[in-house]
Amino acid sequence: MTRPDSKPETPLVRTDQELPARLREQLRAGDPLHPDDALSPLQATRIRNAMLAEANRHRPQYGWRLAAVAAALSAAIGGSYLLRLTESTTTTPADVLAASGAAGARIARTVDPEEPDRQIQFTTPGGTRVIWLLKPKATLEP
Amino acid sequence: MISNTETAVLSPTLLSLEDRLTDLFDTHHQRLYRLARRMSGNAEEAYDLVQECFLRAARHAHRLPASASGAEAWLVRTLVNLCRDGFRRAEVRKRAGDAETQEMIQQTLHDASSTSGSDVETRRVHRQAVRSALSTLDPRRRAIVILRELEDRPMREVARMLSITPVTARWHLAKARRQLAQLLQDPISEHPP
Repeated sequence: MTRPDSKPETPLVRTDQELPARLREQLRAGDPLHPDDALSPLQATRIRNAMLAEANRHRPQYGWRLAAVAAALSAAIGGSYLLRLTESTTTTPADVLAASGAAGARIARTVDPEEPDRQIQFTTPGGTRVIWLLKPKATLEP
Repeated sequence: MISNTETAVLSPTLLSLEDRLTDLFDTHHQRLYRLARRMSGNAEEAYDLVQECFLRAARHAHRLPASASGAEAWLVRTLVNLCRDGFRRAEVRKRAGDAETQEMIQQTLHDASSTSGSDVETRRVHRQAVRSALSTLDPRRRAIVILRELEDRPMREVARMLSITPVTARWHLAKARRQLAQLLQDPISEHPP
């Protein structure tokens, strides 16, 4: 026997703990997905074909990229060659040292037509004398 | 479909890309269709969603994550985003009908509980009510509810798939539960005779 003012078995206001379980039960009971819902083999084949055709249409174009890379490389090599030519005719190490304002620095450049080796000598402000011998025919040995 | 002669002249890069896309499709198309079927209103829409999803995968194959789980998450996110695009377009139309939608769901549930129809009929009506209630949710929340409540995915995985934090996913799930609970409240228990 229940009193008239007793609470109903299903509470009117559900707590947060009860809500998920009850809601999950409701959602599963009314799951919009039928058990036999699936893409048919024909539908799957159609989508796969459309996807592969789309991939073919959007495949990366490597031709113009290769041409662009080749052009950039050519420009870089040509530019560096021209720069080297210009520097060898207009700039000497003495100019560089003078521009850098190294006090007390002195440079002597000897170029012998018979001997293509080059020598750079300079003295540091502390008095240390440095001689660089540049041999074009020198080879790096391991 | 690419013929054998066409395949023979394709670059190795494209061949591997096609293999990858085919693998991706074979692995995920049914699972993605089930998600689309739950997310959308009908089978045709679900088919379109899955197709568009894989077309996007083909167009942006370079963006596909290398891992299998990452690729699956990418597909799920794409599907949810496609739903969101459609949802935004339909939102203006639906906004005026929100009250009617709620009333219709309540009426559907009430009819199902008050009539002594067959199990099949009751299930159909209940399914209609759940579908209508789910359709009122923002697609991201809808996806969270479906992945968590209907597919039983762990929250961490749900969050990873949707590229959000687990905290955010839980917050959206709580909001969605409350919204669904209001829409799907049982008329018998709420209004006892």
